[in-house]
Amino acid sequence: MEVLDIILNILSSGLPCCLLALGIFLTYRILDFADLTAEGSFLLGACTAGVMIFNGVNPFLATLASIGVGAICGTITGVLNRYLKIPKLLSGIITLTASASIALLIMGMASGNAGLFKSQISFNVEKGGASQTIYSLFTPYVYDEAFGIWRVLSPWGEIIKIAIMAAVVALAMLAIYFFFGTEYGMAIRATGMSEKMAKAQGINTDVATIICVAISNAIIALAGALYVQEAKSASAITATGYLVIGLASIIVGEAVFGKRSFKNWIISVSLGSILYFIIVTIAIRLGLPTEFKSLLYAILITIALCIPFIKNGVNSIHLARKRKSEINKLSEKGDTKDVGTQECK
Amino acid sequence: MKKLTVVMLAASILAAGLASSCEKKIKIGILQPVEHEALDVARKGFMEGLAEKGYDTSKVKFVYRNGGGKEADISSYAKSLVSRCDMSLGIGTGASVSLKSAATDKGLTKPLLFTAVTDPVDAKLVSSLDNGEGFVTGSSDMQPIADQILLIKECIPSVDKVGILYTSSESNSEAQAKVAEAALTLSGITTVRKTCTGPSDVSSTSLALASEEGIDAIYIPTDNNIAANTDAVKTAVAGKNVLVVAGEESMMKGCGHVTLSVDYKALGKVTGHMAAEILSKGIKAGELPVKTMTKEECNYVMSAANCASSGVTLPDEVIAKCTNVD
Repeated sequence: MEVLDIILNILSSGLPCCLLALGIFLTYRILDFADLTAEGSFLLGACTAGVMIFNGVNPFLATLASIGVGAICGTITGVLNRYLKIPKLLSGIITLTASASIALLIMGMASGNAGLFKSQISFNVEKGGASQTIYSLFTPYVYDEAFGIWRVLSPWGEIIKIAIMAAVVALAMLAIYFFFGTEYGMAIRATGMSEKMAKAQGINTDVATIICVAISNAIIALAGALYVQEAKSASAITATGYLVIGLASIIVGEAVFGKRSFKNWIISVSLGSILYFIIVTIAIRLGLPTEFKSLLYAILITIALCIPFIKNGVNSIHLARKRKSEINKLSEKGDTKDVGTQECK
Repeated sequence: MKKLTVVMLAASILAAGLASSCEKKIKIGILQPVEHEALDVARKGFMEGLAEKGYDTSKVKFVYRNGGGKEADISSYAKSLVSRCDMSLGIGTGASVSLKSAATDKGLTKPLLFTAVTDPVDAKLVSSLDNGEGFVTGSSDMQPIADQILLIKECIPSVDKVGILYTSSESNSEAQAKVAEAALTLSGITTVRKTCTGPSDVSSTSLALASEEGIDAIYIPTDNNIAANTDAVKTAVAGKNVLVVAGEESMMKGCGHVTLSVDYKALGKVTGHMAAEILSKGIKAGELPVKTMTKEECNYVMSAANCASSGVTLPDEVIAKCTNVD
């Protein structure tokens, strides 16, 4: 039972991060745009969905709204960069900074709040209650006699939640895969590879960049919406630390599962975030003090970054052995042509 | 895919190995969002409170997790704590809310306690302070704000303008600032509210507030960001002859002059006693009312060194009832 519980915990934390990693991947890898908007759009996505659900709005509508908010964030960053000629890193930072205030304003819209701003909201999800999440609509409940409340049927509640998360992640992956396979998707990828070349092909690289950044942030905001419905609370610090997790997921995923094709690459990036949570969870369960966790992050990322280098090393050893055995074979045959090479060795 | 299978297999074998090591002691999970003096003290108080009632480390095993200020970690620790432990304690709003959310999702009804939560009703932990709710109860660190405001009036009888300083992203501080503002307005005192957004603008915001025309005093509610940057406030108010009343003792020690403070150790202890009661009587957590600290349970404290450096003199009757913490 406990094993199941650990796996469920890893998946319920990791799946929203798959989307986050995919979003960051689109800008960081496909477009070659180091986009710091990520934490901002995650925060705004979480706050938007959170406040709407707090106010009793349909959760699917709330999720869609947060996707829209993320797209707006991305568009702003894109416009700052392409039309106002602000460097990429700075455009991201500008939007990120602004989002901190906007988040307070959005959370201020929670019903019953007296002031204009609010920095933390939480809602209770109950059977038949006003606030429902996309998970709770499908959650089975059982009546608890002792407490006189309807409580979630365990572990099916968790499993259904994870199935819904996985479905959303799969949908996003399919959408990315098919969109970036279309002519326009290819144009965006071309823009990321070589902007000059893409321009020469008649692609409007400004629009392509803005669209890609917008899509990326829409997906990150969706991750925020999935997260807030799982956590049932949002606060001004909700997004802190997610950018590192997203980047680490991309790096770990690529290093372990490869990036042979676009399809393989998308899958690697998403699996990376699950793998990342597996490693961290196990390290903590083995008794690593939580204070050392940041160090663990750093070591993990370093190792992942070193994997290609190690792979190369291993490959060259293999190659050298192969050559040596071939040479030995040839010299046994008495072939004089290659004797020179053998002596050189 | 082969690699993924191997990874998953390795993970589940490891997890199985971890799961099999069972203990007979009562497991209590403690989740703290970040390293913070007041929260650390509350945690130690909780452990002492339990020990006083006979639940010492021979009977109880504490599983302590610190989120390091990262929400992602806090929520993933919460999930593992609620299923592994027989009882859990959340310190601060974020941690407590995460624990409750994780427990509800798993359909668990093991007792859940919270401490150092300023407004448990707003955080939806309980629906009223008169009683716990279901499996949740705990203690609130709502400061005796009305009495802190009275203290300002005691120090400066002619006070007519008070500044309020806090960090805009902190919900606890915001809740207290609102209460303070209402209390001040009620007694006919003008208020000026200024907020900082992070560590970088504590200095400039407090300087702007201290230089405000005709300001007599500054009230700072408990605030993690300012607590970590008290020096910036102290420098800003140096020589300005503005009285600074901070929300609690450690902040007062850093940048304030005088305050009436919740004793976090005592708060933790009270929560420990509640935990012991739940364990020994086997009652539901929700049957215990949420504990708030009364004025009598709080301490008057002052800092003579800070008064000297900023040119503030406190009336003798205030000094008489305060403990100097320098």
